[in-house]
Amino acid sequence: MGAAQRRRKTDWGTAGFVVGLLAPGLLLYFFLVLWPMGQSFWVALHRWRGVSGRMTFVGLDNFAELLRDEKLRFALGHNLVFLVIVALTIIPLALFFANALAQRLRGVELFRALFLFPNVVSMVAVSTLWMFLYNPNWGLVNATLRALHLDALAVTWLADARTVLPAVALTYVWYVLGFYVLLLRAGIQGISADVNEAAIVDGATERQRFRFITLPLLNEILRLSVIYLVINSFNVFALVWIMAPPSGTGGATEVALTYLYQKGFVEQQFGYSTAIGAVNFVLVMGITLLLQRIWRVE
Amino acid sequence: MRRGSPFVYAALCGYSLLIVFPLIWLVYTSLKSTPEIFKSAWALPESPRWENFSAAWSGMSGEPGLGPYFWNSCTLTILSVFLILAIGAMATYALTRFPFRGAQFLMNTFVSGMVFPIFLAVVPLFLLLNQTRIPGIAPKGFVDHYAGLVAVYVAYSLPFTVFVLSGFFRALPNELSEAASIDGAGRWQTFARVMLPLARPGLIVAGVFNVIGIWNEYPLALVLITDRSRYTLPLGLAQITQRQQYSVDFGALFAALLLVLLPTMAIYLIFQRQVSEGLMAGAVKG
Repeated sequence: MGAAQRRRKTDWGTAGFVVGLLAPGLLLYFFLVLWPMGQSFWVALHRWRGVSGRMTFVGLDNFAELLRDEKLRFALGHNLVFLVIVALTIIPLALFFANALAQRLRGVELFRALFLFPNVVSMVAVSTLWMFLYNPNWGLVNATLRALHLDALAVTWLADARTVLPAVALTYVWYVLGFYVLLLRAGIQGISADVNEAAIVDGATERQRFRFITLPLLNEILRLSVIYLVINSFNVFALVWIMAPPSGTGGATEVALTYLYQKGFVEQQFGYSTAIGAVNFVLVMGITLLLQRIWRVE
Repeated sequence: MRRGSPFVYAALCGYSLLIVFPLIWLVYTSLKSTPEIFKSAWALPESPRWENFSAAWSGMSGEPGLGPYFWNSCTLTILSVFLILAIGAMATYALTRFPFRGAQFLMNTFVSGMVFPIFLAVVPLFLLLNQTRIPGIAPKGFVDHYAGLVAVYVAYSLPFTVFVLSGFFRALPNELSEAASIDGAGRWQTFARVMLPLARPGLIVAGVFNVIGIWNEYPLALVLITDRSRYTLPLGLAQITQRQQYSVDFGALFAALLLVLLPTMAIYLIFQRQVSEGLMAGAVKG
């Protein structure tokens, strides 16, 4: 620090300028993001029914009730099933495609652009498109299965409690796979060429290099990917709400956030609804911290 | 450039087909009549029915069309993104170029917003907007009021925007702003005329990313907009889809979906690089 900067005299002109620059952003951020986020933990301690209803402090009653709430347990179970399907599909596929697209192959730019495209489409449009594709009578999925003489597999995807969750989860895979390919590809391209060349000189096959060089060096990005998948699987909403609202599937597609929406904005039980959000948040944080502990990254 | 193994190419082409074919199917099905759609999923339209698009745009069988929602979304997106960039750039400039005590803390506070789930705040946010009344501007509160939704969009886009812009603002050379002030430019002038143009690549990444994000945004709009005439495009599409399941004109429904997709497709075609950059920037922080 120079002597000039250490001068005690405050430069009021600059201070005013900085405050002016910061004020609109800070005010909006504080009142519309931080304040409601913090307030949610307070609202969750109240019984509050109806917009004009009175807030009654009930302590941890909402949480005690949630512990006994079978519907919430089912909902979180569905989030977990969703996570398992999505993770088991995305991680291997993304690794494979990222490895392919990290190389300087012919046409690689086109593939990179195509793979990422679904990610910019609105979730509502993705949901609608896949509702059409899954339509039992005139959708492309069943038309393809029938053309392949697999008529037995041409089921009512979104109406059957056994198939609806995997069908929705695979739609999410379609939407998001390109993002994980991008993430992992950046990781692979960050691995120095020297390491790979040394391995080639030592006679390592492509498969060996992938197993013993790429995978270990990707460890951190893989963990990050899994953490994202956890966060997004427990926060899935629009996809389920539009493709297969729980009211139409006998609750087979109830997930944490559809339940939160139902309680808050349909039944107007604001305290209870907020408590669901808090439980979901704490659960996701817990899983994330656990993953960071048990999945070591050097 | 080298050639990959045939297996790798087959897999890449196969997955690309899985992405592209549903879109091609959507395009030609949007030109079919409903009986044609029911008859065969594969068949091309016998003669293209362009009237599907006018039905989707201006309404079908007593249902509202997407037209008004399209303009609503345009207004909201343009207004929000303009404010996000202005307010975001101002805040980032203050935090990165004037290292006052607490600047780093404020920066961390902003950026940490990227990991908060929106749903945690959604009930208090709804109640806050519902109860905040300003006579003359919003006598019934800010639910169903675009000023409310725009403010919310700006607030929730700030973490990402500030994060992306901070990289660009930090990289700007000091000499230029010093030269400008020696030339007699005021502080605001130096910011707006010298520093902002230099941060343009960053503003484009943040701008493109926010345009797509807000054009597509669904959950906040669902909670904060209840009046049909103020619906955004995603809300309108969701409503039409859910209603039309029991209705008749599927050709028009396909056309509606295509209309919703087209603007994002166009933006992606032009700004593909910025989209990947934005996605990467958002991801690596997390």
